[in-house]
Amino acid sequence: MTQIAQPSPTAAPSFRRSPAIEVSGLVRTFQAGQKTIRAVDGVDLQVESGSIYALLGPNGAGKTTTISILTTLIPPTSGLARVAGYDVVKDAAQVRRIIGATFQETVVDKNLSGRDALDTHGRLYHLPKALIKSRIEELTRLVELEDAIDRPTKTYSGGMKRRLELARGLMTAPQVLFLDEPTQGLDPQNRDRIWTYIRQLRAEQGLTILLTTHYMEEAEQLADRVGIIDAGRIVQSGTPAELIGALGEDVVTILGDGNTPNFLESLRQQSYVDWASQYVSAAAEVEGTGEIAAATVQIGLREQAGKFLRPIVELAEGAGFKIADFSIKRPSLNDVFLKYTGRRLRD
Amino acid sequence: MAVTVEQRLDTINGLAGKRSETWRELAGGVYTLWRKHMKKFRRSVMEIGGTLFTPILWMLLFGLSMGGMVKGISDFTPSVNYIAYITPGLMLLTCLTAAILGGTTLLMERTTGIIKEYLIAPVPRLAVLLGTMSSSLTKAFLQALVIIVLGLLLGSGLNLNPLEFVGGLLVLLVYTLGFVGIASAAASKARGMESYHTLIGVLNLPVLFLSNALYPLEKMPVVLAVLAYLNPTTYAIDAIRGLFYGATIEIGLWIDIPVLLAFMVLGLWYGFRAFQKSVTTPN
Ligand SMILES: Nc1ncnc2c1ncn2[C@@H]1O[C@H](COP(=O)(O)OP(=O)(O)O)[C@@H](O)[C@H]1O
Ligand SMILES: [Mg+2]
Repeated sequence: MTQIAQPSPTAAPSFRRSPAIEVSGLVRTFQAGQKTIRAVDGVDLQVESGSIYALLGPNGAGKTTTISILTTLIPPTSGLARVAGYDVVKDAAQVRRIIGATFQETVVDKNLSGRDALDTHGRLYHLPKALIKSRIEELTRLVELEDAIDRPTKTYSGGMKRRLELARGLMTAPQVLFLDEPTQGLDPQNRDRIWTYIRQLRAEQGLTILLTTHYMEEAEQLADRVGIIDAGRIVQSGTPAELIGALGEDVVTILGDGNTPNFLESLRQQSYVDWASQYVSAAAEVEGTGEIAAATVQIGLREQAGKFLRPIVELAEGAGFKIADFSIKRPSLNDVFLKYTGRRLRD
Repeated sequence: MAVTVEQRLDTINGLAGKRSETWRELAGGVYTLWRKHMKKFRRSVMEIGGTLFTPILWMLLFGLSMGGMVKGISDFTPSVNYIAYITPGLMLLTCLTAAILGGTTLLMERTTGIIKEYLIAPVPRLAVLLGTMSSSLTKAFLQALVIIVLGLLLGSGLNLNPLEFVGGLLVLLVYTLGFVGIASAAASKARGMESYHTLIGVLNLPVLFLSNALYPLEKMPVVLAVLAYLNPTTYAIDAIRGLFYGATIEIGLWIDIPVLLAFMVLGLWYGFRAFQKSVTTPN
């Protein structure tokens, strides 16, 4: 695993103030002929330093426009936005010095190599040459482009270009990173890689990341907090667990064999168990093994399953029930989105 | 000694007190973009080929065939040979073509979104424009150089007075900058390559033919002469003919130079304004 040199917390105390991003009453309108489009229509959000925030919403929700304002690309029509304490309008120059970004569309020069792209980027930020060189080495390793970095980017696959862009966004060791739909249109393998890098960056560097996505799985997988955005407004926000938890409890499904009535009885005595019953459709295949389990038990929990998994396993052992397979189903962000917008998120 | 990210952050801290972009950020930005565009230029066989081929084509086409066809060359071009007479016009035409081509760099970066990388970098927006302008100017000068050399090979000769030669280069610079400005404006306004070429299309050949590039002003029909006087190319040719090739100056430098300076200022101002507008209200 690649270790990225990271700024020591003492190097820049002023950047460590939280929250890293503060947005209130943000509005941006566009003129399209006679019509005025309110692309961003009163967005409020806060992103704590060192956390990942995902703006989740369908196409046209205003995600890109919000990112464009926060990265100083376009000014807001009204409202306030601060990045690391700096106002994106009045202190745009200072914001630019400390942020990194990738855009929704892939933008790399096809006739230049990956190395050229990173080098140009480093120079745009006035990095010393030696630092540019060492950063290129580190980041090329991080995004696994060692073999391709000196080739023109026109020979890259879509996933490789995305990874190069991520490396470019990280060249300058930004305080805050903006990723607009970082995995849009990628195959599952490249998507997983990008997710891995993003998690790694947060874990190793405490980087603050604001990303947008219309994949609920992405938000669920990566984000500390999710803001559901629709028609230019954040309709609901919270941790993925909070958002989903607010919808109802988890259901644990257990396949196995043994003293089923005894197991059910001891489950029903637990305060965290809402209900427990044997599944009517009796025998089921244990996934991946082809084995047929004798019993299927479903347990409805009052709270999230997380901390109760171990007690449930212990109860099964105590009751003489042998667990072959274990699964938890929870309401998804899709259901959350449905609840707050009345529409389904299209993938 | 390896430079660490901490040291980099120290640099940022040094700048963090500054609320606006610094001169260093402006100069660094212009140089970085110039360097990038020139690198792309070097790697593009098409672009280099076009850069060399266009002037060669013009020189051969006009220099050899037309020069041979036109009778009474000495009547037409009293003080220099015909090659020396037409070389300045072709030089300016290639500079104009280079400026137009340079505009497509800006247009392409705008329409693909590459420009966003520059616009969110700690680089003044002016640097983004100046970077593109400077690379397009460099390409224009490379072409002008090819023309000068070709002219020499075809027997144009050259005025060896260094002061006058430098003066000629400055005239070339001022003229090209004017069109670089106009091309930047068109590239900032255009929605795509097609509309860019529509906007800019009127400039190309008329600039050559509605000027004194091939015939002296006094031999022209009045209508053409009037149009030629409205064309900045006429003044640049007049000056360059004298400064590079020692020809008799028809209009006079004291008119040529102020006209060209005014043209440059107007062109650049137009370019700046259109660019500024395009980056503050995208799409
Ligand atoms: N430059 C623009 N001119 C006109 N309308 C725009 C412009 N940019 C975005 N919009 C409109 O604003 C709305 C939000 O767009 P966007 O922020 O791109 O949404 P998202 O990124 O969530 O898909 C859309 O209706 C879009 O058509
Ligand atoms: Mg978008």
